[in-house]
Formats: sequence, structure tokens, C-alpha cells
Amino acid sequence: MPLVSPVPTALSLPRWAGLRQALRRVLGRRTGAGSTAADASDIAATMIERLDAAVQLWTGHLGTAQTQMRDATAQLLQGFLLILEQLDQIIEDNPAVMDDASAAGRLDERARVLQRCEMQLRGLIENFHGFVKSREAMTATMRSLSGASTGLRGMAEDVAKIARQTNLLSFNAAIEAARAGDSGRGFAVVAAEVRRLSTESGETGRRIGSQVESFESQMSDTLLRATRQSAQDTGVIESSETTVGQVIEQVDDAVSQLHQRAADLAARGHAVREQVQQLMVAFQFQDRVHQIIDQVNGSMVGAVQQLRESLAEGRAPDAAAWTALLSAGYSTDEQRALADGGTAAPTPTAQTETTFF
Amino acid sequence: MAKTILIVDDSASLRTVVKLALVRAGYEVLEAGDGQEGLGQLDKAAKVHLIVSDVNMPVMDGISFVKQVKLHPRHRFTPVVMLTTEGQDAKKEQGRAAGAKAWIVKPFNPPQLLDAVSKLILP
Repeated sequence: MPLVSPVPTALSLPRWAGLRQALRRVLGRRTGAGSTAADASDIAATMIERLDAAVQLWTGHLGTAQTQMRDATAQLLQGFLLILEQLDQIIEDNPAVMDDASAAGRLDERARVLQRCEMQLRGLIENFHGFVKSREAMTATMRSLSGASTGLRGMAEDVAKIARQTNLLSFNAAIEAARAGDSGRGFAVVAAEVRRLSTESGETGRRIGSQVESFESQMSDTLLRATRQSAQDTGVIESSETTVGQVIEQVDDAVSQLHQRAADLAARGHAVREQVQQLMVAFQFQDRVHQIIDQVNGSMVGAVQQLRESLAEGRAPDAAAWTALLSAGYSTDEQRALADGGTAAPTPTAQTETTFF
Repeated sequence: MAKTILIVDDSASLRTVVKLALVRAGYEVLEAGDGQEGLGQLDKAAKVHLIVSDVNMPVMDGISFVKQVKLHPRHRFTPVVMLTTEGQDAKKEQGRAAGAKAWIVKPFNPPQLLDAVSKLILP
């Protein structure tokens, strides 16, 4: 942004050569009518008085312009400071627009929190998986027990079978004891006892078979329920895994949006900071313009004074002294450039180099 | 504790801009409208860590002011940064000879001023 508007390149300089000729014509006519050189002096003195009055008026106008410009600049600066104050408040309320480093730090912290949440959720799912595995192991054990019960039933049947055969054997022994008469009476008692035992063994075998059957039935029911429950648990865990994945994805999206928003705000913050700096450079124009106008004022007053003195001494101002008078008090490069014959004042820009001593 | 910088410039708007840049960077600021006022501020202040001064000022110009600072019993070692529209080498040499530590030509960028201040300011 240009700091100061360039001075117009085509200054409308007075046509001094024409003025000089006109003055000679007036003086010639007056001389012809019998006037003296004092007339020329009067004319020159009058012109200088008029110029003096004009310079006083011009300096007054310039003073008014300076005052107005100073007041307006002060008001602009006050407004700028208020806007800046509000901007600072906004930045304070939205820390993401501060600087990139702090914004990135906060985003890293958020990412770490998210990562911790994700790990905790994943740990929960792992616990569920462990629970299912434990249940599956228990079901396998039950299935193994169920297989063992089949063996028990076979053993019970074997017991019953042995009892039947023993019973048949004792029956034959009883017949043989009867044939033997008195000598077989003792053997008959033993045979009867063996028959009674075989009958009891058969009963025991049947009871064992019945118990094993009942156990098998209950084991089968339990195994069926456990298998169904395990399938349900697996479904619940799969559903939980899906839900956790969705939650993580949503939070991840939200964090990404936050990240983008923070980046946008940081970029805007940068842009605003740049604008603030440019405005701070631009506000310096008032001081520069003030100095240039001060110099012009002093130069005009000094020029009139110099003309007065020259008139009193009856000579034109010395060219070198005149130039020195006009350039006295220059404080900017553009003033010197214009005085050195430049047609346009360079637009001052903010310097980037500092001279260190 | 914030460090104190004295700004000496006859332009109130320029002082405001310089003050704005310095205060936002965490410095405390004293102000003076010319070299004479600047010396008065130095007499009153317990500690001034750096001075930023204009060159062309009424009553007492910046070069004369720096010379006086270098004679001040308590502030003769306080670094001075000249901040002026003057960019001529001859003027810079006057500043250097008077005892200034740096020369910045207006208009200045706030980061440029803050960089010079951070390099020169007293501990």
C-alpha cells in the first residue's frame, strides 16, 4: 500500500520569463513618461509585499491543513487502537488464532487424548474377546464331559450285562447243586447268594445308566444354552466393535475439522497481523507530511525575507544562497530528489535494514 | 518484570505507533515530545533500558539529545536507537558520533524496530 500519495509530476510553475518581459515593458513605458528608477523599486517592493501577504495566507492555510490532518490522524489512530483491542479480545477468546506453534501443541494434545480414548476402547473390546474365549473353553470342557458321560453309560450297560450273565450262571449253579443232593446244599446257598448279588448289581447298573442318562440330558441342555449364549456374545461383541469403530471415526472426523478450523483461524490471524503492521506503517505518513509542510512553510517565509533584504540592497538574491535557503530543513529523500531535478517524488516504503553502529 | 523504553518524538501519532509496537511486545513505555522533555523523563525514571529517538525535533533535536544522554550520570550507558526520516549517510555519521547504537529510517516495520530493540536492550 503506498504510504504517501506521490506529488503531482507536472507542477504548474509560473512563467518567470514572460513575467520578466512584462515588467520591462511597464518600466519602459513609465521611463518614457518621465518616471525614475524609483518607480521600478516601488513596483518590486509592492510585489514583495503582495507576495509576503500571500505567503502569510498560504502558511495559514497549510497550518490549518496540518492541524486538521493531525486531528484526523489522531482520531484514526484511536479508532485503530480500539479495533486492535477488540481484535486482541477475539484472539484471546479463540486461542487457535494465536500462533501456529501453540495451535499445533493444542492439536497434538487433542490427538493424544483421542489416541488414549481409542486405546481404552480397544482394550475394552479385547476384554470382551477374552471373555468369549473363556466361555468357549468352558463349552469345550462341557462337550468333553458330555463325551465322557457316553462312556459312563456304556460302562453301566456292561455292569448290567455282567449281572445278567452272573444271574444266569447262579441259576445253573443252583440246578447243579440240586442234582448233587445233600452234598450240594452248601453250594446251593452260595449260588442263591450269587444270584441275589447279581440281581442287585443289575439294579445298580440300571440306576447308574439312568443317572448317566439324566446327566447327559442336562449336560446337553447346558451345552446347547452355552453355545447359543456364546453365539449371542460374539454377535454383541462384533456389534460393539462396529460401534466403537464408528465412534472413533466420528471423533477423528471432529478432530480433523477442529484441526482445519484452527489452521483457517491461524491463517486469518496471520493475515490480520500483516494488515495491522501495514496500517502501522501507513500511520507514519502524517509525521512525514508534517515535516515536509513545515519545511515548505519555513522556506516560503525565508524566501520573502531574502527578497526583502535583496531589494533593500538593490540586487537580485544570490543563486547559491537562494538554493540553500530553499533546501534548508530537508529531512526526506523525496524532498532532495525533487530539488535535484526529479519530476516525481519517490514513494517512501518501509525500510527493512537497520544500521547498527 | 517488563523493561522500560523511552520514546522521544515530536509527532504524537508517531509516538502512538511506536508505543503500540513496543507495548504489544511486552515493553513499558515512557514518552517525550522533544530532547529536553526526554532528559526530564530520564531524570525522573529509575531505570530506562533503551531509548528510541527522532532526529528532527523542536527545542532539542535528537543528535543533541543523544549527546546529553551520554553525559547523564545514570543513563549514559542506555542504548539509543535513532528513528528518523533522515536516511543520509552524513546524518547517520552524526548519530554514530553522538553515541547512538542503531539508525532506522521511517517509515519502519514494527518487526524491524522490535528486532533492533531486542538486540540492544539492556538486561
